[in-house]
Amino acid sequence: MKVMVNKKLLVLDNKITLENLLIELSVSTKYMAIEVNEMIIPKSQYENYRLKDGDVVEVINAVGGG
Amino acid sequence: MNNFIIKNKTYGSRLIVGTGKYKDLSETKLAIEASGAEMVTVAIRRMNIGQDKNTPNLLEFIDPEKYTILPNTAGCYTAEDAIRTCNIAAEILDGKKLVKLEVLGDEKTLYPNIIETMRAAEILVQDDFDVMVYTTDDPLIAKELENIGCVSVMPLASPIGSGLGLQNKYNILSIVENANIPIIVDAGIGTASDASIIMELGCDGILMNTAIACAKNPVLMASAMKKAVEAGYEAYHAGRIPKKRYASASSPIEDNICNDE
Repeated sequence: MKVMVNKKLLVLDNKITLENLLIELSVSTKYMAIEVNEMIIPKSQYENYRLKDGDVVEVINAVGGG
Repeated sequence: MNNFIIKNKTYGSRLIVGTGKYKDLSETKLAIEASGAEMVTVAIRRMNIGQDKNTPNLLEFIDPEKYTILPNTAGCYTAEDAIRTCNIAAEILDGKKLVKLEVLGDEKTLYPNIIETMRAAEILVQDDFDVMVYTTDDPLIAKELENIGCVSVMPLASPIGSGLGLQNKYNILSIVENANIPIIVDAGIGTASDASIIMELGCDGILMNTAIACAKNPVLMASAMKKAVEAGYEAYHAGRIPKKRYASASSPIEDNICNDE
């Protein structure tokens, strides 16, 4: 299935969980947030939240700013 | 003299610093340490997933256990975008709901869109966010934002990143005189004297980024700003002398052996 992650189209295993997506991307869950289709998914749900074809995922963190 | 308190937490430093525009994270950290700031602003952005795995996350460098992290809504032009960003920030920071609300209206001036700012502030306050709000130097708007329930009002000295210093002293003075919450001047500082002049008006604090990060020597400027904010604050409470047109001798007039008439 195809999922848009941070503006990049990725081909992923069907029904991959957010937890496994982050492992695949080598992203730590510390100080970050995820939106799927503009809805925030709490960290407690990463283990069981399964993505579906066409989902738009944003992986977000804090960067330098004023 | 009084304590600098934001949402029940007392801060030893009245200087809040941004983390943008630095050469690297190491310089960011050194400048923050030199500034003495205990609260630092960050922006909320899409993670650069393809980046070098050895590049640390900003918040692994600027420890949220040590500093109060103030996420901003920079780059948002509508209330909806700002609220979305605040909710993401709360998720990033494990539920902490202190935010710097800025809703911009124009790319050239980066002036705040006050209508959208007020709309966002109302919703965020209802959603239990502690809102520190960036605004213009309009005293009536500042009071409205206080009445909405913002924990601090942060009027600009001059446009963001301009370095023009304080442009409207009497408006800032009116805002300070009418306020029952901390007034923190945010944006427009150029150099140390700008910070002192603002604090001498009785402001509670200053938020700055570019003046430090883009100085030739950011760490040294951070140290200068720390002293300037402290000096201005102490001078305000010490009470300045009235201005006079002519001289007033500092040494005694009497018993001058060279002028014994």
